[in-house]
Amino acid sequence: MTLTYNFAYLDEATKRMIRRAILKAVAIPGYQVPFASREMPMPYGWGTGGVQVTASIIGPDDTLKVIDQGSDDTTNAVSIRAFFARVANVAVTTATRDATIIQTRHRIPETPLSAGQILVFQVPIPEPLRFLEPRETETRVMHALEEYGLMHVKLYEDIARHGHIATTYAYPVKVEGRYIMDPSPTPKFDNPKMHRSPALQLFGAGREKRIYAVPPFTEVVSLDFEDHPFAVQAFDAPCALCGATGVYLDEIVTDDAGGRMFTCSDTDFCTQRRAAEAPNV
Amino acid sequence: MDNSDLTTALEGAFAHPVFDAQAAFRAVLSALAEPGTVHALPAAGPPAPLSAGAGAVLLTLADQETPVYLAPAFAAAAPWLTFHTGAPVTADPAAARFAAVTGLNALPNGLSVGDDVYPDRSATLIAPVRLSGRTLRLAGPGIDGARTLDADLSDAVLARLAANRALFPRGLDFILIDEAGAGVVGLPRTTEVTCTSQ
Repeated sequence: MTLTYNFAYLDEATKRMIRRAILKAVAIPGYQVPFASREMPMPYGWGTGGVQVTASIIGPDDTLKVIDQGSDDTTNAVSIRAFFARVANVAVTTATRDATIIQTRHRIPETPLSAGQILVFQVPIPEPLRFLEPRETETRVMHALEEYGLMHVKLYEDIARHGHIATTYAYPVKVEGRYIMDPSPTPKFDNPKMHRSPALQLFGAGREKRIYAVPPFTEVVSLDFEDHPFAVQAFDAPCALCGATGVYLDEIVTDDAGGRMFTCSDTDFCTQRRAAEAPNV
Repeated sequence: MDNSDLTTALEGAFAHPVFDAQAAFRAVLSALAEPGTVHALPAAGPPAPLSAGAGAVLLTLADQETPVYLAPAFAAAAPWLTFHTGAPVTADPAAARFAAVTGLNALPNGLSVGDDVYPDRSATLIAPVRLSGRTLRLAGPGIDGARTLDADLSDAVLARLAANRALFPRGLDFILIDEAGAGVVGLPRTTEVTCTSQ
């Protein structure tokens, strides 16, 4: 007997429930909409929230790209891409430009996104205030009252202790001047890409059962202070493979003798640049 | 209910329930994510006078968990809706997750706008609109600067929309169905709508 699934794995009732949550998330940018997260055929922490969002929006005409920390060929990216190729029979790609839906774990592609594309983030802890206030009942009320002083105290304590804001990933943002939002554990390097992006950004947290969204062309401002303005990471050297500057680099250990190189975290971006430079190779 | 009513209630579903619902959802998602843009909906056949577009939206989003308010003019669609979606039809606007109304000038009183802690627990309105008449200027999330939309919304309706926007993060969200076709336009609670023509 061959096992068959409904299109895109989820049953239609689940998709409807998630679709309703997504629409309210889009209507209230940055607000976390609770949803009845399902068990998926992968463990929590492997992108079950993102997978449920993707399964609820994807159609036969979509082209899907999946990245894990910028890479198309790591375990999480390969298995989720294969999952949707099998249960939804959709076209898959590694090229950012060709994708209509990009599911991502912890990066935003270097290639600028365009209108009509949807970026789906896998989110572990959707609540930016969670490590400051563990009670969900309290963080709900803090969001309702726009009571965000605690977050500024946290950033201030960074400065008092380290001389600068030491938060480097999951750097809190304010959406459309209202909700403080966790941009998921993307490096703060990617925060500016969220600001007024032409693409729709959807966030799914499976274990924590929350969906939130940033519509296209929405204000996404990283929190900072006048005398300690927000700044992204800078790298001393260009990518060792393609020579790109102004991109996010990964450190690759190359031997047991301390050898290392810094290369683009976005493998598609790096590959395309190298292909363009050496068309005959 | 005589046999013709029964047939009306049984027919008019999506030709392809899974794929048409997905296409309709993406149309509504794009409409709400980019307010003022018009997106085509797949065909559905609810009993008149409920429009095909409104029927497609309800088939896509309504089920046993979502009480639906139908304007009195749409009463004939109640058996159809219940048969195809399982959604309970309610006469109490406060209980409705979705409300199908005859126009933005005919909203029932008491629709839920959510609360400050859970602003997502608000009603979504489905209403017909004529996409001509006045030139409206839209601004807000989903819009790069400003977007123009031709629609016949009266000053009273614009005032109602402005009052709704002032409730943010609470508020109603609007899924508008083009009267002339099966296109859908979204006006989420965040969109600022002003009239630039007279």
